[in-house]
Amino acid sequence: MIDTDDDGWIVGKDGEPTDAGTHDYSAGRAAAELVLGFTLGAYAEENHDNVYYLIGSSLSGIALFGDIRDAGVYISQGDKQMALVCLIGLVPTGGDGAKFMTKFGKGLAGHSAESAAKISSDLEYRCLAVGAIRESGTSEVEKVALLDELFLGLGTRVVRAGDGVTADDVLDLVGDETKKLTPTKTMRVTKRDAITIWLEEGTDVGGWRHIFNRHIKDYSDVSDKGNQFAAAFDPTGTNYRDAESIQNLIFDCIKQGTEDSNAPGHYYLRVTSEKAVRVVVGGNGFIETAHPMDVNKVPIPI
Amino acid sequence: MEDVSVQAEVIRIEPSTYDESRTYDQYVFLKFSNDVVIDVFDFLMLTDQTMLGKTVSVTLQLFLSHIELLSGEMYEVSPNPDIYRHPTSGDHCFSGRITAIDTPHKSIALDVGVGEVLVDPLLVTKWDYPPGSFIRACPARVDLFEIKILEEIG
Repeated sequence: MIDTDDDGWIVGKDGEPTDAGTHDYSAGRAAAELVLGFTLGAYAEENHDNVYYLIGSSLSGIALFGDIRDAGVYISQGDKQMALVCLIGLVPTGGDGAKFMTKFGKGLAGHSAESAAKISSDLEYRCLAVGAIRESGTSEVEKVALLDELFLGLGTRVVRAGDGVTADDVLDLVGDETKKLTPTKTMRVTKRDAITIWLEEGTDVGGWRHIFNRHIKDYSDVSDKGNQFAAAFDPTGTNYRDAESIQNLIFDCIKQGTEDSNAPGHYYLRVTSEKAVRVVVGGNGFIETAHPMDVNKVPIPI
Repeated sequence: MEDVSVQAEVIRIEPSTYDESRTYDQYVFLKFSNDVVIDVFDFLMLTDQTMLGKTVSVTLQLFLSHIELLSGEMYEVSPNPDIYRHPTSGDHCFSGRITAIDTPHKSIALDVGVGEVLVDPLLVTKWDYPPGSFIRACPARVDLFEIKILEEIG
């Protein structure tokens, strides 16, 4: 029971990273934010840019103070896993469930896009939102609508994109405690061999932003300095001149391409007689990168 | 077209796509015998830190190249002049003499003075570049396909 990285959370407990920089709040402060959110509610929300305040605020008037206090004790003791179990236990059902989800979703939508992305990536937010949707026992259409409400359009973006996933697949992904993801920045989701694979806006080192910065730069610039997808696969035509068509190609490669058994997560799909696309997926299912290449340089037969 | 290669020293390796647990592709900075330094895209992860400072023989492909015919002899590797850019292995240009053409794969072997590189032409529909002609190739990326350690510097 030692907090060696001095971030207020017990090292070695489930979900506790050793990097103190991954927490903005100490355990004591997080517990205080939960209780403050419960007490003050939406009144002071704009000054409390964190998931604990939002949870407290959303449960205000629904849960009992004693239950909130119990969750706060686990949080203040640095026991993230028990705190999470306790908070999930507070997710109401029935009419209160609907009220909670409305407050939770509206609370998230009230933040800036970047702040909402950070809150939505917190395990606490993801698990409570997924738990609430599951408890609601609604139909596929309603689950998509609730994913939209609780994760800023996630249901419409990923379920209705036609990549072969259901609302339950998305709930499984978002509620998976082992996966690090940002639901409000998730762009597309698909499945291959029972593995859920997703594309996020990402960063300069992985995801769609990386793919764009390193291999596209400018959709209309079909040249040596611009859109490598258009240049490789349709230099004189009109295909691969926008995000949707390039993302469609990436997802075709994941669904229909050949995986390199020597390098799991590396998929290849022949697009023309001479050029192929390569997609690299991390071990957790996050699409890291994608780019065109010569067919005769692909390391496996395709 | 066997053994199209150029010798260089590996001076830096920079991850391109990575997460907490793994690097998926990277950029390798190579210094040629004329002291010109360029970054190349190592998506097969052929290089590692043990190669730093070593002289290697590399097979490079100039991927999706714009090509122009030169009126006279010229051997040159011109690195991207923007020193503040992120490495993308792009915007380098290579001038030299065509030594061979692999028509089925539309690939060109180009002698750039310090060695030979493979050129993958972009938007080239008329093949009026016979062996012996001098061209300037500016690729979207420079891909690393093979590397052999020759000797250790120092």
